[in-house]
Amino acid sequence: MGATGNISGILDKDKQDLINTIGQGPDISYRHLTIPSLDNCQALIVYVKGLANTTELEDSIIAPLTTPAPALAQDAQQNQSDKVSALMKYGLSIADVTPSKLWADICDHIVSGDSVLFMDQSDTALILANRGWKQRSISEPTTEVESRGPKDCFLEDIMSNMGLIRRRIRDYNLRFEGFKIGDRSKTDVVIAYIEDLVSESLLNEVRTRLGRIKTDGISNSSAVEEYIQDSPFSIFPQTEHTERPDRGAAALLEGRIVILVDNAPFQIIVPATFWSFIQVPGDYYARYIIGTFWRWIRLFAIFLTISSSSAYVLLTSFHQEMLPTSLALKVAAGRMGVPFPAAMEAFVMEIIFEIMTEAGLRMPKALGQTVSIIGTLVIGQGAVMAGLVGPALVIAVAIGAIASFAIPSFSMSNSIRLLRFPLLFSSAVFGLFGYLGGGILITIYLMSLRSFGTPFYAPIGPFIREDLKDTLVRVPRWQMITRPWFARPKDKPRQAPDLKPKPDPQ
Amino acid sequence: MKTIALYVLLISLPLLSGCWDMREINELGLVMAVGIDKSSNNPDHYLVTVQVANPQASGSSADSSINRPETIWIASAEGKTIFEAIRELARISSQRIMWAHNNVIVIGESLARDDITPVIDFFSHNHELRMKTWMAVAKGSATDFLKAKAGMGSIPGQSLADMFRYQQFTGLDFHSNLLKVYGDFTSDTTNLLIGSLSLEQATTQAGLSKAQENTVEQIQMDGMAVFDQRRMLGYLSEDETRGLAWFLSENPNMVISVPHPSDSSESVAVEIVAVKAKIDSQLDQQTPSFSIRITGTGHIAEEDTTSDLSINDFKQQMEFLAEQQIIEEIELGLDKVLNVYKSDVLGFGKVVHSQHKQEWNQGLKDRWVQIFPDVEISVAADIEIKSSTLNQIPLRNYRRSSVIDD
Repeated sequence: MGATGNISGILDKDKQDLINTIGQGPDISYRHLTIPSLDNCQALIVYVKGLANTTELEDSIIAPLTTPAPALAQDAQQNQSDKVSALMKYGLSIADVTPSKLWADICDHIVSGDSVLFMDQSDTALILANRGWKQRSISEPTTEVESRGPKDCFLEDIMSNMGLIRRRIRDYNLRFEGFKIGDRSKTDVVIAYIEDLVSESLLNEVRTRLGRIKTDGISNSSAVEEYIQDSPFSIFPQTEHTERPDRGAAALLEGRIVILVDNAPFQIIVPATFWSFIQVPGDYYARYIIGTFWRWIRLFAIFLTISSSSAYVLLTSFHQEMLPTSLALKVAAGRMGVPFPAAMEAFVMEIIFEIMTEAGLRMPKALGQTVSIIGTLVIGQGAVMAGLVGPALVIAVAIGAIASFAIPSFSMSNSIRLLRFPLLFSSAVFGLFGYLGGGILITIYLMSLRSFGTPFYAPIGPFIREDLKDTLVRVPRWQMITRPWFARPKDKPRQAPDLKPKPDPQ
Repeated sequence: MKTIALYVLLISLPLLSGCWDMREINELGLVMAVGIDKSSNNPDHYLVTVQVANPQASGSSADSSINRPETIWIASAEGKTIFEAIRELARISSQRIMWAHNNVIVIGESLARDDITPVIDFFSHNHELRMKTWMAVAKGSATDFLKAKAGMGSIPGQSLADMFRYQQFTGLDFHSNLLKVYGDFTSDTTNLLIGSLSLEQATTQAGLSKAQENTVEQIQMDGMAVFDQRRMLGYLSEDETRGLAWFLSENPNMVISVPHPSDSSESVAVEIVAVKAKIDSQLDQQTPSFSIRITGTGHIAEEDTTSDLSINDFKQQMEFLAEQQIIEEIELGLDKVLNVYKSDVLGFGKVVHSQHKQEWNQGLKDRWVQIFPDVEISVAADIEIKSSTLNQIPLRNYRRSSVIDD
């Protein structure tokens, strides 16, 4: 029963149609006014109170309209029929004004926060872009903290986010392409790319995948991720996400595509590889040796996360000969009188650790200390003192826990933490064979994944020699002469080949 | 439906197989040392004694109560075969015996004199045991040695292994581990040379009076045991062992005492390092002859007497005397092996084999046992004493004349 087609041009009818379409709730304002300069024409401004910038509305729209304006009156006199163009020329002091006749268009703008001016005897309404709602200011990133990077961070507002990117890349070829996703939420989704870098096929693929989303609403960028991933059932994330504009801008310069979602502070980057989840902007902000070292530390952390408790179980239950004698005796001493088999012990402790993590995340911040006290003292020390678990296991689980927090991407960290359990299970059943078999299966699986057509494990499998410069090592800036292969950029070289600092040849 | 059934089957596969081969570490008794004897009751039976570490004693330092449990648990069992005896151990052991951490295999003298084959056979078959396990012959019953104290460590088996490891400091580093013994045992010519142990009385706690002193038996390394193909023939004394060590040891850096050139009643200690031994064989006559040539560098380590010789003379005379000393030591060892035991524990057969392959394969190999005692061996040594150590003036020269007349 909503209004369709064009507006009628009869003010009372249009108002009634509008009320039928968007309702008459307390947040929607219908403001009647008379425009003296247009022969006392009756007009109606409709806007949403929480979304429109009221100050701007008063100063730049209502004030000029209601004040007699000779220039406007004269212009309207000359072109009797066209009030709209007269108003746009002389009547309004707001920047962005769009005439429109379509109900669908007009209603969309009202609920998006713009104001719309209807006039009696005019079949065209004016959409006045005076959006302006309360939003948090740009703050420091909370999940991707860098000691030496820029301290700004994406917001919920997509316009500001586009601005944050545009401020970093002033290339004329930077393109933002808008989509509206969600029949009811009508969420703005924008893909950002650099036109002469991005691969056509990748761009078309992103357009196709976004275009086929038909749903009622998008609550967060993670929802978009789920609709567009290559392997929807996979445990691994196949798209990167970031809240750092510098990371987004760097991805654009590599020929990748950033998908910005309105109301989501985390933006999606495609395509992604497994290795991009262990890379952080800090690698590039520190000296290259240090950046490389950190990468290895993170790789080692992944290894520890996934294997610390499995290694404990397989060493204490199957391959005691692999432990040095004195360590074997120490571990055996710690396990004396422990009532459960090592596998069970490890499984229970891992579950308890996951519960503590979840509790720490979910509970009110004021109770924060409670979890740490109960977690460390009661569960850690208490369980050992009571002889319920061996101290070596508590250390193994704690090492795995700490290591899991050293994985920079939270989504990847979660996936890897979850993989501990199948690996623990296979280690408990088959010992070292189970552990190795599980590890091989995980690696094979990683190699089978794809992200927007790019092999997920590239450049290790498939082996791309030139991309090794920025995978396990981070070579100095001046050696990164070409863009990475995996996004297949149209333009490969990114800088001059001889940028190594050196004395003047003379 | 079929797919679901397949998944159920796949998932139950690991579940139903159970935790195959699983054993908790605290249910294991880690063997630190094992001793094999002939049973005193029945000469056909073996007596196996194991020294098992008690993990509770090496537990966390937090519960360092005064009443610490014993660090080791010793158990013996008899059986017709070694394996049977070990199975018998399960009747008295609360822990499952595990061999992977075993350090030492001690063989009782009576067993060694009878036949060592079953010991090597069993322990080289055992997949748990490492080939790096040390082997030793006990002068006496192996059981006594397992009960005795060894070194400072709380677990004697471990200390004993450390003693073997630190033989490099005396130069007598024969690597008598299971790997070497197994290799020699299966070789055509080389016979076994296994380290031997003896017990000595040692004072562990010095008290105010003799009565308060606590004397225990302590293990010491004592020469080597010489075997023919499978039986022990006898022992080499510490001095004879030193003689062989010059060319058999893995790390023959030794200290020798040489009479002082100007006062033969005084001694000079010379440390010989970078020792290289070269063994050559000649097949001119019916019996092969060998030449052993030792080269090395000497450092004066201790010189307790004054000397009026010039440095050059002193160096020359010292080098000559050191060479003589080394040759003497080697000949002492060779004499015992060639004339008393007549067993090729020196690996000379191997030397001939590699240097004269053709002749070796054409009969020499088969006659080797008979020929070996009659081989001619010439020994030469070439030691260079580094002059830097010669320049150091003996401390005694600093003494004032008034102090000397003591």
